[in-house]
Formats: sequence, C-alpha cells, structure tokens
Amino acid sequence: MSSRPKLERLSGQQVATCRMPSSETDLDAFYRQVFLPLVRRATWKHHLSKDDARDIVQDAFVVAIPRIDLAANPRAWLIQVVDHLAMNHQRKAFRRAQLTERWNPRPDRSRTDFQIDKGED
Amino acid sequence: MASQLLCRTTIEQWVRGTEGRDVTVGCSVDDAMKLAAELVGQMSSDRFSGNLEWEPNLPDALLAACRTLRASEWEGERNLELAMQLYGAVERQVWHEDIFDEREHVLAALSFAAWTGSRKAGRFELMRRFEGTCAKHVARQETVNDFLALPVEDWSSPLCARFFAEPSTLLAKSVKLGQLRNISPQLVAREAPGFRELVLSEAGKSLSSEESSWIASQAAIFQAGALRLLGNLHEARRWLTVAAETFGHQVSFQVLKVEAEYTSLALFLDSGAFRLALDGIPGLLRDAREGGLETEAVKILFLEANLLKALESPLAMDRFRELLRLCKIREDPFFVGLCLVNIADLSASDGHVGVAMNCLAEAGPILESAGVPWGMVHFQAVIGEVLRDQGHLGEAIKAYRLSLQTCLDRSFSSRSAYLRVLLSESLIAAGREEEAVAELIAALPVIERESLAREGVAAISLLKEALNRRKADPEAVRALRNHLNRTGTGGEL
Repeated sequence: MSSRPKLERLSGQQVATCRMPSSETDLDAFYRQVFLPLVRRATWKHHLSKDDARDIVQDAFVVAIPRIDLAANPRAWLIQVVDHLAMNHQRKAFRRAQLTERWNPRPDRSRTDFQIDKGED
Repeated sequence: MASQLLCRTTIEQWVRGTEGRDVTVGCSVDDAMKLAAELVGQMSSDRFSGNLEWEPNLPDALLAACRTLRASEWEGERNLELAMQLYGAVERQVWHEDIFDEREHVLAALSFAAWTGSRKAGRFELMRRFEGTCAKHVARQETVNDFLALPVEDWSSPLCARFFAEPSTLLAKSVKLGQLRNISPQLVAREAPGFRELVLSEAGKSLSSEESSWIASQAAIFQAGALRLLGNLHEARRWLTVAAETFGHQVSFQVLKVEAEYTSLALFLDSGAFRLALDGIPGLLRDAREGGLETEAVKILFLEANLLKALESPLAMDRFRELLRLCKIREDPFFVGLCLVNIADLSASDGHVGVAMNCLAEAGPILESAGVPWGMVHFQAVIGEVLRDQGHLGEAIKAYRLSLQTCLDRSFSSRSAYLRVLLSESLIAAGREEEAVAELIAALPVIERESLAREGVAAISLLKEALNRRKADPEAVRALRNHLNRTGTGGEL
C-alpha cells in the first residue's frame, strides 16, 4: 500500500473550495455513487490496494473526459475502462516483479526458505 | 440519476477538484478483512438478527468476506452455512445508490460460494438452487450479461480475462447452456465445445481444478443432450465419453453420473434399444434418489414411461398418470404438459378420443407457457395423429405441418424426417400425392444420412422406386413409419 497521507473524505465544504461551479450535492453524490464503487471494483475484482485502485479510477476519469459517449452506455464504458486499466496495472506489476527477481534476486533466498521450513536458525 | 452523474461536466469537475489531493477511499483491504472476520463472528453468535446494518464500509466488508470464503480451505459445512447466511442477509439488504450492480455482484459471488459448498457436501438439490441464483445475479449485472450474450466464438482473450476473473460468470454460462439444451439445441451444440475448452484453459483459471472439471463435464453432457435432440446420436455418445473422462476423478460426481447415464439411456430409446434402456432405469433411479436428486428422478420416470409406451406395455398409461400427479405437485409445467400429451396419445390409441381431446386441450396452454419447443412439436404431432384417426385429414395435415415447421426452425432433423413421413401418409390419404412425394423426397436423405432406418429396410427401397416414378406407395410409407416408430425415432426426450 502507498504511504501517502490520506485526506479526509471530500466534504461539501472542501468541494466548494475546489473551483467547482456545479452543486456540492452532485459532487458528493458522485463520490459515493461513482467514485467509491469503482474503487471497490478495482480493489476486489483485480486484487489491487485501495490506493492503486484510486489512482486507476482517477486515470479512468481523465480518459473519460474527452471520450465518454453519453448517447451510448457511459456506465458500462466506465467499468470497461477501469477494468482495462486495472488489468494493465497488474500486468506491469507482475512484469516488474519478474524483472526485479531476475536482475536483483534476494541473496541466498532458497537457503533461508529452507532454514525457515526446517525451523533452523 | 446515473446519467446526471456520469456526464462529462461532473467528471471534469471531479478531476479538477481532486487534482493534487489524496481522496480518501474508505477502509483499506486489511481493515476490510478484519471487518469481514468481525461480521462472520457476529453471524456465528446467537445474537445475530439475520439482517445487516448499513454503514459506509459494509460493501468492503462483504467483498472481503467473499474473498475469504473463496480462499479458505474446505471446512466441512461451515463455509456453506456462512455463504448461505450472508446470501440471505445481503438479499434482504437495501444497497444504497447502486448504479454499478455491486449488490448483484456480491450476491453472485456468495451464490457461487454456496454452490461450491453444497456440491462438496453432496447436497445436490441445494447446489441446483444456488446454480440458479448465481445465474440470476450474474444476468442482473448489465455488463456481464452483455458479454454472455455474445457468441462464444466472439469471446476474445482480453474479454475472457476481464469477465472470467469472477468464477460466477463461468457457472452462469454453464447454467444458461443447460437451460437452452431443450429450447435451442443447435445453439448449445455450437457453443458447448468451445465453452468447455475455455473452462479447461488458462481462461478458466479462476476456478479450482475440481470446479473446472465439473463445469467442463457438464458442458460435455449438455452437448450430448443437444446432439441427441438434433438427431446426431453417434456424436452424442462420443460426448458422453468425453464427459465421463473428466468427471471420472471427481470426489462427488453423483449428479454428473446420473445426468450422463440418463442421456445414455435416452440414446438407447432413440436407437430402439428399449429393453436395454429399461433395464438401466431401476439402478439410475436409485442413484438419483440416494443423491436427493428429485428433478433428475422425475426425468428418469418420464423416460421409463416412454420406454413402456414404445414397448406397447399396458403399464405405460399408469406410469404417465402417476407422473402427472407428481409433476403437478412439483409445479413443473413442461412435464405436466408432456404427460398430458402422452396420456392423450395412449387414450386415442385405445379409442378414448374424448379423453384424448380433453388432455390435449389442457396440455396446449401449459406447454406454451413452458416455452420448450420440443414439447410443442410433440403436442402438435399428437393432435395430428388423433385428427387423422378421426378422419379429419385436412386438420391433421395442418397440425403435422405446424409440428414440422417448429422442427425445421430448430433443426431437429431426425424428428422432422419422421414427421414428413407421417405427413405424407395423411397427404396420400387425402389424395394429395404430389405433396406427399415432395415430403418423402425431403425426408429420405435425412433418414439415410442419420441412419434412422437400418440398412435393408424394404420400405426404403420400395419408396425410392415409387418416388422415381413420382408416385408414393402408401404401403411402403406405412411400413417406413412403423419401422421408425420401432427404432424410437418417433419418441421424444
């Protein structure tokens, strides 16, 4: 998990100070009904940490701004973008882990594991 | 409300407003796992009311509980009880502002956990129930439902990776194939092999090896059932062997064994080996009842009644009547309708035309409501036979044509060939020989191709000769019809 400090949940007051012309109620509803469920989806479906999931959902919103088609099915489209970004993230993380393992292996790991298994010092 | 929130302006304002900020995202995964453990603890205590209290972290706690259930080792029936308790509680729970079908997702995951638990515990009726709820909740998730509506051959690897991360999606597809086997066998025959391959491949990795073997075996049995209805008996047998190879190493495979054996006996009915099939009924019925498989037991009793009817046993009528009573209690419209049609058929043969007409009048709307075309095919054909025997040839021809059309629409080729022979008999009797010849010309290649009549059947040679002269020999047609009846092609299910 990322160690970045968390801010309190975006309250009505915070929303008002964020140069947002739309109603506070809308953004609060957006947080509860769109943002949080999508973060939960990325977290539990794709086995991500909450912080990674949040970044992915934010990225999906950035992708959505120029491309979202309101005449089609924006809900399904947004889910699809979140899923794809989450899957890409996982793939990259897996590849990174493999490369780290290959180029920077932990010293004498197998021996340590063996010792732990056998209860040796 | 969703459309208001998912507009470009709101998204843009959200992104701008949260730029550089670290928006809080509810509890962490670890905390959610702890909450799930607390929830499970509460559920185990006597103080649990059966209802959940809504609070912002509840969805995370439930999703964590689903993960725990999935990951935990098999612990007797405890997991099953827990999955059922959670399912009941979530089903009663109002999910606030759920625009992404999150509640349905949780219910599908819990149904899958309960399906696995009940299957492992050998509680097969319960397993069937959770198969059904799993399919229902998956179908209610719009995006997943849209994916499952695509033909299997259009499922790309990225799509499979995306949707099959949830094992409930695979189970839901399997349930769908099972439901379609009688309604649209050609679709099942096209999709089941590809689906089975996917389940056994990397795409099915969200399933345990036991789960994937189970679902793959079931797909093979569905394929055999569909091919049987389409008249391809040889291939149907091959698929039963494929199924047996996969379920052979299952710990608890009783349902699959019963399903495969039932299809195998039904194939004997189709190929005219009535005695052989009848001999297998008592053992199969015992296996089904020992496993608590009442639905399967009804199907086996129906098969038995059909075998007795094919053997012209006087016991057939009693069997259908007993079964009718049982199916009415079980509120199973498809079998109620089919029993009525068979009672009508037997009554008409015994000269009780009034009884037959009453049964048919009762069966019609019931079968229509059941929505299984195979049932309507049989219903219309029996009407045709009763009317023909009454000398109402024009009406009989109309009924046969209706039945034939349903068969052709659904590619029930062997049944359509048999119906063409019946139809041609009535056409000859009505003096419409040219039409009869056309029907026979269409039927004979199917009869020969699918080996419906064994070689050396004199009726076929006679008919071929007559058809060369553009004449239909009524004796040869009758002989062929009788032969098809004896080999079981005229049977159903």
